Amino acid sequence: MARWFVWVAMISSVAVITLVVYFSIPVPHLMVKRPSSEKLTKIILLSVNEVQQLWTKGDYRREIDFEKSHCPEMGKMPAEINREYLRCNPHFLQCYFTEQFQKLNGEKSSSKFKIAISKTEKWEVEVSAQEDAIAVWSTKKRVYRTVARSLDQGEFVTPYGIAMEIYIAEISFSYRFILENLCHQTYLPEQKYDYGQTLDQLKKKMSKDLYENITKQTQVETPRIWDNRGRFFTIDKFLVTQQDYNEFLWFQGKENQIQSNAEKWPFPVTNLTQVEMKDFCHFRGKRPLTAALYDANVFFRKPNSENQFELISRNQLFPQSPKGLNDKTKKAFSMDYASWMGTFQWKDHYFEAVENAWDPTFNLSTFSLLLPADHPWNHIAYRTGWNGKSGEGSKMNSANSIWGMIESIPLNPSKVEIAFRCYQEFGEFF
Amino acid sequence: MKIIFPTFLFLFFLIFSCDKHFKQDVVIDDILMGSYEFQLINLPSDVNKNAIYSSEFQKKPEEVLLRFKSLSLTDKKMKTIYGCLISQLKEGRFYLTWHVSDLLDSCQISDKSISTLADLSGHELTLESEVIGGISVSKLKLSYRKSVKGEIKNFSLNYYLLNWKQAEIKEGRLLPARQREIFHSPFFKSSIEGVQFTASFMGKNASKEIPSLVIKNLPVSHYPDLVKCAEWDDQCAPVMDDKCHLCQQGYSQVMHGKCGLHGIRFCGTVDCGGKNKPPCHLGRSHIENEDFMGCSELSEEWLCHPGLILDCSAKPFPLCH
Repeated sequence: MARWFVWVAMISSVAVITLVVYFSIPVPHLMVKRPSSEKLTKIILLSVNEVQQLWTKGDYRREIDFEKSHCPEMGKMPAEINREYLRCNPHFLQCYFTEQFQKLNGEKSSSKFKIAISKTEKWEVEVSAQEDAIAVWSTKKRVYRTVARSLDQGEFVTPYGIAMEIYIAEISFSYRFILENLCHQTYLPEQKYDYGQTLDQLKKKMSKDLYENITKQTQVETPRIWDNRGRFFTIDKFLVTQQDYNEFLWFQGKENQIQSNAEKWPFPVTNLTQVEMKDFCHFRGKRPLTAALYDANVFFRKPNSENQFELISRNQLFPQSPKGLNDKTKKAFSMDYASWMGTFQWKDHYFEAVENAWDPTFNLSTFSLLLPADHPWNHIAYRTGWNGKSGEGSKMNSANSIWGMIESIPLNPSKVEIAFRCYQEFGEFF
Repeated sequence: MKIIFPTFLFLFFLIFSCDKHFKQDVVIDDILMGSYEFQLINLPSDVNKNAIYSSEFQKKPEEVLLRFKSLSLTDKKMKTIYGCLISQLKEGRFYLTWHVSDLLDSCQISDKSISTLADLSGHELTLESEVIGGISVSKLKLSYRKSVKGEIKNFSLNYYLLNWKQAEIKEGRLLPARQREIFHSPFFKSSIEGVQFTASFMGKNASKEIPSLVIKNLPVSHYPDLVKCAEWDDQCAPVMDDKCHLCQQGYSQVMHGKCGLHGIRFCGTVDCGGKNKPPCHLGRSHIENEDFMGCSELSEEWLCHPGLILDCSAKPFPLCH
């Protein structure tokens, strides 16, 4: 009897020890009962949707007090600039979810939020900050990681976006997802487009003498009609910003080249070479804008009429003379000069570089605020040539006072800044 | 002492066998959540359009019902998980098995069986949609009958496919029902626009890496150093599998002029119009004109830079000289 008792005691002890050891192993998903598949799907969907709203719409609830908020990695705060700056801006999410924003209701922005999956059932969800800190931005751990086809593997990898993770403490469950960067680009409808201005169009805009001088030259692109049937293009709505380029520099290991003045981050990056522009666009899974796509944006073919340009200007009173321009007149994410497609900054403080396979010597759009309104180069889609270099080596083709000889003149980066934007072409879709 | 060790083993087996069943369910739910491509095998043509499979159609002892790919996100890498669902008929009983693998051919013997749903009579797999919290989601619904206390009852399991807003079956594939709208991008439309859902569970635990599936662009844009991703011959027959969806920065098409819309596609950008480069072309409208006769030196539809001559007879496609 005693022997049996010893055996039972020993077996029981082993069982108890086994159970204690087993349940002391921290395997969270085994310790808490996971909700049903339907319920968990709902929690994931609504949680991801909450983060996605902040990603694509920025401060869409108008809850942040930007006057009182200070988040250094944002550079300039939206109290002073267009709120477009907040959309698809990973730094905004980083500041938001690491409690760096002051809300109008007196609270701090938080990494935690609640999801109501029914009238009576709420779940608390947290955005995990588990990615390594990036010293040039902040010492805090990151809530996101940049993902891109140029960095990652896999056929389903987005051309460019961020990966994030939500954590539901109650069930010790975390879920990862990717947010694509779609905010600042728009789709070019499939149709015919015009490229280059006809001499007739120029004639309407220029003095007789000037037109006669121009027609003596051959330095005008041949107007063409082309179409994008079966091809899918998306065009960047805004010029590439310094903040965009800073991230590219970081991935290249060129941290020392990152623009140190954070005030400049939301503004277009300038003074790059053509190769650097191309490399940046490639990093984003894109290509530098072409002259044909530039014209597709700024020309609008009215039904049953000749091709006519239409630039929807919201601010005709903006200074037209370069004398009135300075850093204070620059606007980050300016929407003052919009195209019919809903793309912007077609007339700004910059010349815009383009690629031009059809007429390679015309790769710099001079339509800008830099030139007086009546300057012969200041016409929509007028282009000249640029040697693709930056700094002191940068030169563009210029004409003498009577539009005679074309000559190459050095560009002064402090006076003529060259900006750029990218486009993306996708394969055929089913 | 002899009984202690077996007892210990028994208890461990008991505990971990329960755990195994639990984890199996978790895994397949999560993996399908991150699925982004479905290929339906042996799709019966005479069933309603949403029915993917019904046990009534099973003719062989073992049939692969569908294959799928899911995106997983590990700590530092992304990877694709391959899976399939197999139906086995043994002694008049059906067994459904989910297989997953990080290898390309997912239904091979190297696969891990992660979940077996035993003895499911009268099972049917359908594609349905459901609105969850105001968001439209596609799901695979597995309906089956099972005897409970001597009574046959109907059951169903839902597997949510969050990477599809609305899916439809076309030619044996599950495809996103995409409407191309003006000003809307042609991006993949998941349940929430611009979100890619992943197979999170596998992602956190996966360690094995797979070879890159992306075709990296070489820093060149000149033929013949470009990476070819698709090609059609003069008779418009495909010469190779189309891999252009793997290109890092999209692809460029060079038309050879003999097959209307098709030609050779290269990953990345192809410089056109320059010396020894293909001519630039102005779009399909030109080529689809009724009087289109292929590449012509007299045509304005094919562009070479000033001073260069278009050679329509050059191989493998027209060139500017």
